[in-house]
Amino acid sequence: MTSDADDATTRPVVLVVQDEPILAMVMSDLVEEAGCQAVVATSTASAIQILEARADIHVVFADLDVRGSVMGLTLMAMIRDRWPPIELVMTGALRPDVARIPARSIFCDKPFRGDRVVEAVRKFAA
Amino acid sequence: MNEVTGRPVQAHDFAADIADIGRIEALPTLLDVICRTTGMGFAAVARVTEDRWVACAVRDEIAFGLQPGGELQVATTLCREIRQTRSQVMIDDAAEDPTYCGHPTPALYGFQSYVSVPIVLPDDVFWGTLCAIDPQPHRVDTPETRDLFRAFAGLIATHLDVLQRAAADVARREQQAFQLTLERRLQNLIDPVAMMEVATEALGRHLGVDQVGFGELDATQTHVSVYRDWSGGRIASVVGTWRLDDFGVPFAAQLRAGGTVAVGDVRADPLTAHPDVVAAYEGIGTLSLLDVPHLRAGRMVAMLFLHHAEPRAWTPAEIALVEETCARLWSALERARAEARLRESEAQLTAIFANASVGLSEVDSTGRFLRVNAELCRILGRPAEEVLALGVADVTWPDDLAPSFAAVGLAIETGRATSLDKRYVRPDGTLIWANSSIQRLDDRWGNLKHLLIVTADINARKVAEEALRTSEEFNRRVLASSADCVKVLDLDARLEFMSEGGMCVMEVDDFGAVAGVCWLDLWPGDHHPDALAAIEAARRGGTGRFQGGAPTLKGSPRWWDVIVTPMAGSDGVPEKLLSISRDITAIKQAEAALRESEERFRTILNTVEAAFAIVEVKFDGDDRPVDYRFVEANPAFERQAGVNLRGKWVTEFAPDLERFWFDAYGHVAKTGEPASFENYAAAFERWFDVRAVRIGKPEERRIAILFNDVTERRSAQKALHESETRFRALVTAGAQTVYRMSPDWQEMRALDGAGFLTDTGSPDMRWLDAYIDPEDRPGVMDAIADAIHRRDVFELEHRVRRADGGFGWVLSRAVPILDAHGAIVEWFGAANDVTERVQAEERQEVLNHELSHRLKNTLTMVTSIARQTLRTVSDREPVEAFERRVQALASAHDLLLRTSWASASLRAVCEDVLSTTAPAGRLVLDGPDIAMGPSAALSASLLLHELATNAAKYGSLSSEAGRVEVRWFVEAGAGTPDLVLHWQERGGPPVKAPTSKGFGSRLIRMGLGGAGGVEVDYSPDGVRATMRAPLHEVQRS
Repeated sequence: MTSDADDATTRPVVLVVQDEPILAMVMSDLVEEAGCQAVVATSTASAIQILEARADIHVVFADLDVRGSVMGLTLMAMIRDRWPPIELVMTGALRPDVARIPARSIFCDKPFRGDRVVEAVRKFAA
Repeated sequence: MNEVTGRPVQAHDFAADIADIGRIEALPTLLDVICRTTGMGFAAVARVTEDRWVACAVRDEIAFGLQPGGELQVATTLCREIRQTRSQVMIDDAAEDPTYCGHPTPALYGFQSYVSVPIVLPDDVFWGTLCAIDPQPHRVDTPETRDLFRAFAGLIATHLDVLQRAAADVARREQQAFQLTLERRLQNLIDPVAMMEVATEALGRHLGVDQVGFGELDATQTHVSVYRDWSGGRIASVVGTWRLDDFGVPFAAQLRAGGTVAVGDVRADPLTAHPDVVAAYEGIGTLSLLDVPHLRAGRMVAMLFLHHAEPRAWTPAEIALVEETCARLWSALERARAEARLRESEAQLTAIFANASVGLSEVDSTGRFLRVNAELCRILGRPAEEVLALGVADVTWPDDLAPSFAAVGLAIETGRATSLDKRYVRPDGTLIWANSSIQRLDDRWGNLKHLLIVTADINARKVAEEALRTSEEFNRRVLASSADCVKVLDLDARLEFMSEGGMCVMEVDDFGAVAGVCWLDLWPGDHHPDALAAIEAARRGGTGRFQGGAPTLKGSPRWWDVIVTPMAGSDGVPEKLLSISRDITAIKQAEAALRESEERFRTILNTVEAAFAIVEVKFDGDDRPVDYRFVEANPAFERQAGVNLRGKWVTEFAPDLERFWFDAYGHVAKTGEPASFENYAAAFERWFDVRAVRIGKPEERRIAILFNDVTERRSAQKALHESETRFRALVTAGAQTVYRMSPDWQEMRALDGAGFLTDTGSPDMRWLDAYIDPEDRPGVMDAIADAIHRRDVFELEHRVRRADGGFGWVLSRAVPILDAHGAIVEWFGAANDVTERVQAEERQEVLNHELSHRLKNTLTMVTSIARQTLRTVSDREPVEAFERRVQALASAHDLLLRTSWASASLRAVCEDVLSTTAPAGRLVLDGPDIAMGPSAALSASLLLHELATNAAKYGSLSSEAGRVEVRWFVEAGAGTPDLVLHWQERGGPPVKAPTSKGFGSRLIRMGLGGAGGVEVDYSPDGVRATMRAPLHEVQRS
């Protein structure tokens, strides 16, 4: 890690959407490893609130299995619709139908590989 | 006066000024006096304009070096200030002068003393200065000197004024003389082109211009047509049509707005300076021009243009002259053209009047002839001189005087032409019929001037009409009483007449609609050739006759019996044709209907499968039927009988025929009661379905019989009945629901729901609505359509609405019942309630998904925890290897989930595990479809993952070109069959057997079934592994 990575204000912000605490921790670590700053939402509702409140989210790294009123690919499509510039990295137990995955996004099958996730987040945050 | 723009319109003519000054004889003396009295060494008269200072007369004793025509820059002189202030400047000593000691002018021209007074013309126009200078100081700023200079300047001004007035006078006189001469010359001309020639040449010579032309514009003011131009020889003629905008759009716009355009140099003037426009002018050899438009009612109609081969400054006098010439030329042209038109129209009228084929006369209000033409004289039978001495009343037949006067009165009163037929008396006393049309002619103030009477000779017509009327009346009455369509045609078959009765049957409302129409055109259809032939025959003097169909004028189809005969003229040669058509439509229709019905009947009899015959029944003396004879039999009948029956008695070929048949037919023949029965004829060994009716007259004892051989149907029905009973017994034993469907499944003929589904007591066309949810219908319909198409078993598991209103699942199976020809008679089906099983399966699937979800989450956590825990381990490879192995396991798990953990395809396992490591082009998978049990699937995926990882690290997949071939097959050995899987790497770097015995190697050695059976050969040209396991173990769940 370079020294400026410690400067929280300059690092790209990645919103992690995960309701399993351990997985949230792991996903945050991977985001940090990619040189970004992680913000965790433990529900889809709070994810939307954060996106509405903050303008600095570059990437959303979401588990499609997180339950909520708007969940899975619907949430992803909604984010792409309301915040088009935000990049999407997704994971989930079941690989969704390719045709339904939003363009310009990446899906990492569970159990995802750390290096793949780091690579994807780094690429999108750049 | 038009606005004049363009630049430079007028360059100042200094030569003229110098010449004017030179004409003042006393001037040298004046300058001499100035020098002597003031002691100045240099004196001059200078013409000073806004931007030029030019010496016109000079006395130079100090070698100042300026000659008449010499020029100083006006800005450097003091004269400019004098021009502005109009007051004199007098300096004794520039060095001492409080105003001019610092002024640059004295230093520039090297003088100390200076005098300059303005020369102002009597009309208060500044002309120039009278000035003097000297390098030495002199006392000049004195009242005496000032007065002297002023007096001299005034003298010069007066002289100049006189000279200029004289010159202007001369110019004006010249112009007036020019215009007067031109006007006179134009007046003598009547040809517009000659006018243009004269005007342009006169103007060109007068102004010394290279070319003068006159052009006229089209209605859109786009193009100008030059008919004539005059050229002094330096510029070629521009006669022709030009697009005005090509010579500069702003230029053209200004002309259209009525503005004269004077351009001193087309290359410099902003109106024409565009390169294309300059090129256009250079193309006609022109560098300067003066164009004057002529507008009428705001529209440009013509232009007079002057072209010069060199740049030229146009003076206001020249411009005014050209403008005036343009206006004069235009009005002269207009006058000439109007006169020409008038002459033309007068000439035409005179010619028309004289040569008209009707009588024409002008008559004054008292009725006297003022002017008459030849035709009227002919009608009246008198020479013109005689007619002109008479009045209308003198030549009118007295009986017709009153209507004549009335018509004249009406014409005068209304101003409209009034016409009447009247008789004139000729000198020989004969009467002549004429049609007179009287029109009032007014002078320009609307007062009655004359009457114009147009007289047409209608005598012949009147006489003919009279004769015709009497003969026609008779004929018309004869013809009108006939219902036939009687027509008179000319030799080209054009209709000249049609009788009233004919118009009625032909549905003609107005004979005018068909008069002159070719009769043949009324025969558009198949009978056109017949009609043509009939006309031809009649033309040759014969009679044409045919029957044919043709529509009436309103399109009603009709059938006609037609006769065409010639009508001979006096010389016996056919002159006209007479066509008489009789409407025979009703007869034809009746015939056609009969024929049609017979034909239809025949067609039916010949084509139906049913046998048909007409038989005549023979009765014995006791009136008992004993035999019957076939009068008529259709092909089907003879097919079934196998012999030609016509005319034969039935006992001839079926002597043992049952008595039943004679009695049955005899009864019908005798009583006329129709019979219908199905009976077995032993003689033919067949069943017949028979219908019999009596036809014709009762005493003929004839009956028509219609019968079908139903032997097959009867046996099929019997067979079906038996089979159905058997089948029903079979299915009812196991199924909860039994149903019967029509061949196309539209109708549910019966359903025994056994409490599970609602029973239907009767055939039901709406069974789909009742049992199948709209959402499921397409799937059900597809399966039905497929079964009908195949004519084979229908089998489908689908949802149904149950008797309790809820939805359940059934497994429905139906078989088609086929007749002897293989056509579907109906479907017989059974449905079992499988709701519980399906629901259990659904629950199982949900459970499996949930389990899979949790398992994968857990695996994710496991890899994540491992990653976190092993964060500090610097060698990342084992950590990543761990992640990948867990992933391989998870992918096998995914495959198993799809079949609810029953099995996974070996090919799918290979594809899933290897696709991440080996790109598609570098992987060959070859083998039969084998379903592996869960345990074997998991171990195979781990094993293949290890092989692939090794290949990617050290083996064939580590190089660019290397690839992997996986082939598997079932080998039936002596005992149970084995699954054999070959792993072959090719095209990689040379390999060596690994030295370590890590987890990966051990996984590989476990083999497909977990119990070994693996041979790995680290051959230098590529790793080769062969795995073998009993098939039943691999497939065990």
